[in-house]
Amino acid sequence: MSSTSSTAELSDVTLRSGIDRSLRHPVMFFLTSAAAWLAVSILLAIVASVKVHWPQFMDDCEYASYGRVFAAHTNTLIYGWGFQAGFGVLIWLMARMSRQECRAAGTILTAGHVWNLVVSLGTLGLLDGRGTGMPWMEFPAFVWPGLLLCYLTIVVWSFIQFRVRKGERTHVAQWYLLAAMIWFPWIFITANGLLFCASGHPLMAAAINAWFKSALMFLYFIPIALGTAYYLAPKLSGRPIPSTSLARLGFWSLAVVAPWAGMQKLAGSPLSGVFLPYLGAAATALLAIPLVTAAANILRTIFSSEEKLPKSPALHFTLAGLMGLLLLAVAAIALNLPGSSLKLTQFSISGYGFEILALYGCFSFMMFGAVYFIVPRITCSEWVSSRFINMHFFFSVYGIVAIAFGALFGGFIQGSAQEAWLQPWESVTDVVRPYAAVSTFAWCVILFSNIFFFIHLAMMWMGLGRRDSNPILLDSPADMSAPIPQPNP
Amino acid sequence: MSVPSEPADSSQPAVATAVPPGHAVVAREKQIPENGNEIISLWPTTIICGALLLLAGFILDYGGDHLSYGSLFREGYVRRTPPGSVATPLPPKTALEAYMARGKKVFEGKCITCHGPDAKGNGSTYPSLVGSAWANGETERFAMIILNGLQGKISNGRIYGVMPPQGIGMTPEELAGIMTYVRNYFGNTKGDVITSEMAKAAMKISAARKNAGQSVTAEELTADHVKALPGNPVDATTLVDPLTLEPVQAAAATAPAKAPVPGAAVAPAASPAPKTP
Amino acid sequence: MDPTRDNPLLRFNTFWWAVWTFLMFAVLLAAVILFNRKPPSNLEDAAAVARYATKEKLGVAQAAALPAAEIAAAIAKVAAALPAAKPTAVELPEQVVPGSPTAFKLAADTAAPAAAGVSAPPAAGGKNTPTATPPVAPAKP
Repeated sequence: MSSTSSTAELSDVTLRSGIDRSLRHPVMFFLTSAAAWLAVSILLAIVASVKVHWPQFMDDCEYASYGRVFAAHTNTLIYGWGFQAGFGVLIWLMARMSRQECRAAGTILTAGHVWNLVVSLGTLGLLDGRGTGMPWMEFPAFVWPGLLLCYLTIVVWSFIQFRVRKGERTHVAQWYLLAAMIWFPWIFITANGLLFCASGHPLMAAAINAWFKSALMFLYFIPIALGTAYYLAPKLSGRPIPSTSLARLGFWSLAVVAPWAGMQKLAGSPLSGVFLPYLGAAATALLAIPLVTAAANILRTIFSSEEKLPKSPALHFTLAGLMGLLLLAVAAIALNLPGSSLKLTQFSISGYGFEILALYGCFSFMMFGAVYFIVPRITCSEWVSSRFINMHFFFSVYGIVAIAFGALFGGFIQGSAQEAWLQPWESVTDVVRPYAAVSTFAWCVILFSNIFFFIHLAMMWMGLGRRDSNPILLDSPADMSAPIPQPNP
Repeated sequence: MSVPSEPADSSQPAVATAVPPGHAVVAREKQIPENGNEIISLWPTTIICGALLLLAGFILDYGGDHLSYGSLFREGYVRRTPPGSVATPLPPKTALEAYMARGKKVFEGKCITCHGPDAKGNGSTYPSLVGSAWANGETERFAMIILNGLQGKISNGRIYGVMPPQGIGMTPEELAGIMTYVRNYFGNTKGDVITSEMAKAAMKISAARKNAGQSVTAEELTADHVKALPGNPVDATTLVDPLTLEPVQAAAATAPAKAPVPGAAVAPAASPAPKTP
Repeated sequence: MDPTRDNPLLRFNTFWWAVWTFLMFAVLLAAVILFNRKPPSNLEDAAAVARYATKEKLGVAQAAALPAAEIAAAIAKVAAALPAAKPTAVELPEQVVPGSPTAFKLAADTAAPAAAGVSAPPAAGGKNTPTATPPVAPAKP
């Protein structure tokens, strides 16, 4: 019996290893390229943040003017880091869950390089002053069709794998990933088509842009993060997801509620449909339902295992991402109460804090978790140093907490200062200055944490990982030279 | 997610011996268990989701008429006076200025398309209002033309195009304003002010016409309407509140010259709070 | 989905279905936009057409009038010429900067002859002085 089982297990191992091998080039490319873009984005974030409290910094360099540098920061964070990390994780997860090898690795790799090229051109154009001025769509207008085509080329193979998958049931993670794959073209085409190809009322264009930001967060990045978490949690803890019906509730509530959110940015403007911003605010507040149900479900999965606190790095980061998710749900409600907080924070840094919380505090942490899970499998080696991982983890958490809380609270203070109409407007910038300084410091801390990540990832990429059958565990003693035999995690 | 059918006994390191090198990572992976079938506990979920739905509904209520793309601002929106100031009304203007300002808006909205920006018309379809006998003559006749439109011969005997009625949806303040504006601008210098009271009377007269609803003609005007509108004439230099067009006390006239200084106690005693237009 | 159904035809099919799923949104959007084009129906739309045309013309004219390269070259030339230029002597009273010591001296000289009963010299701080000194054009290099 054990020989049959071990033969069957062996063939399963071979299948999964085969999947990993087939994907190793595209996935590794995406992850390392994404990490590089993350570095670029954080540097730009630091420059942009410094410009807020110390405008004379680099003031003779037109490429470093705030409007360009801040736009470049957000756009590289999304299109450079966010999308490419998402691609790497998405195609690996879809392949593994469909148990299909990837046959189009070369095509995907090429599309990835083209994506890099297009985003680089866009960023350079943006820094040169040719940005469009629409938040998160600031790349010059020639960029978006290229991005769309690359996206299709990269993602269509996952569709095919899903269609020919082995196995009857679909896992919760597959729902989220599949949905994200279909939602993104809708959001992207609609927003870019209406804003760049059709001419309409400019105020409505601003509303559509605001909708695009929210939809990209909640219908692409958050579902990918949730899908990753729904995969990693049961996989690493060995425990099942407690309630499929709760998972279903979470998924469908996200699908129904999230497309309505976004236009709350324009509350009070003479938009011809006055109800639209308030619809957006209501939907954003209601997003707490899908976020909290998913977080609750996954947290119960993780903590129902025998270990009190998971030791795997991937689970550490997934937990951090889930905390970010819960914070995001609270912030979504707190920032969208029309009588009080909406009008206070509408034109403040709270919006930025909210976006960074979603993109970094939730999505990026989940992606880091996935990276720490996936890379050993495609390089067939282990991570080298638990200290590096710890540094990466703790400093990232400190940094993101500083930014999120600083920006969210600072936004309220800023809004109150804006409402104090008897004071000159400069007093608002004086009030915001400390929060901008906190933000700069926090981004520096995050950069510091990510240096460890980049070094570690580069080592794995260059084949310097440990050839060992024992994984890195985060409560192991600092001296990893003598690997301690652990039971299979 | 079901996985090929081997037992989920993943705690045994025995497989390590058969696994090719470098695949230890994959080998030690756990299998994803079947999803649990725990039923959602109904009461907590309902209460929480219900509370959030109520909150969302409360937020949505701020939007006023749902799915209405008509208005540009919320119904019942009243501009609040910011905290820390008394409600400083707009500085009063002379009646002539206030009515002309109102009329200018109406002119640029309605009349300019035909009569032209200088009210000289185009000589063939649209007559000139500058020096027009009917525009500068008796107020009731002028009001009937504006409210009902005109067909046929005009004051100088020629026939131009048909003037459509402008009275639909027009408020008395607007009517008074446009009449005052035309009579005191473009080179006309009647110097008199048609008040909203007179305009209201004009609208009553217009509704009580025999041919109410149809445009007036020169015959009807000469027969019935060559008179001044009933109402108290107001001196052109009387100070009025620009929004309500009501006269204000002269005492308030000392305050208006400077821009409303925030916090300064400039509350003219008798002027009513400015209503949003 | 059992494994025996995995065949090239199914994959080919799925590929095109996926492409269609993605691009369907573009088609729908195009359809919605095309069917919603209507001629300008109210004054605002009609005015808007003219306004957009003006905006186009303005953009073209501005781009033609402000070529970045030429401006950069011009700045470089002026910047090179400026240090070499000598400041010109102030000859006319119009060239005197209001509020400068020269202006005060000039005012004092002209006020002294018109002696008796003249009020105090102009208040310090050229900005508040309600004099009739016209704004001075900067001396050209």
